Amino acid sequence: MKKKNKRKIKVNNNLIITAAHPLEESAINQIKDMFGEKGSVEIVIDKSIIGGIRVKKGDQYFDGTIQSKLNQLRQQLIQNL
Amino acid sequence: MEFSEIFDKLGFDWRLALINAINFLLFFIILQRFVLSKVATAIANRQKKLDESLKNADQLAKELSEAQEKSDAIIKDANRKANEIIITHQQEAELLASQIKKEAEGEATALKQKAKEDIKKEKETMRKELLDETAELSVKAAQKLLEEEISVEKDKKLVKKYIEQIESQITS
Repeated sequence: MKKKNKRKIKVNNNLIITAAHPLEESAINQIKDMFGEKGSVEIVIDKSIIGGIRVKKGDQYFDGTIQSKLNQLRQQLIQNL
Repeated sequence: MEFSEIFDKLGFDWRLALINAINFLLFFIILQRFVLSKVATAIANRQKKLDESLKNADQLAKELSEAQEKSDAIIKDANRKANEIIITHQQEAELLASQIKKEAEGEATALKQKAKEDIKKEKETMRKELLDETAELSVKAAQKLLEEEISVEKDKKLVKKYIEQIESQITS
């Protein structure tokens, strides 16, 4: 008898903020208000992004990191050179 | 002087001469009858055979001449055919050589074209690799510079600015 593999895809709707340095409380609250987040927020410190922030909530995604700008710059250089 | 006296002086006896003449005549008749006729027949036969032989020889000479002519004609025809074969084969060989040369030229042209295309592709690949490398180096240099430049304070300003951008995007 075949065993059915039922996979439950868990959608993480938590608000996740990634930054290169610890964020100020006021900044975190401002972001929470923008996304209507009442619960907890996951803060990820990632030095590789150099600066700026990355915000993710459900299927919403905003990337304002220096790393993403550098990636864009790399693509533009490759295309335009 | 009479003949008889002269004959007597010479010792000629006419009677003996007569007998000898008769003997000779008889001998001649017998010879004619039994020998000369056979000899004549033999000579005639021999002449006939000789004539036939000569006739045969002429015929053979004629046949030989005809055979020689035929032989010459056959040899001439064979030579002509051989020449035709040689010319035909020469033409075929020339045609084949021409085709081979044409094919070789075509292959050479195709090879040259392919080589040109390969070189062009290779140059393009190298150019792209160089550009990628240049872009990568430029970005790495910029990254290193930014890592040194972006302090906590500067980062705070960046974060503030980006939050404003997100807000404007959400509200719009």
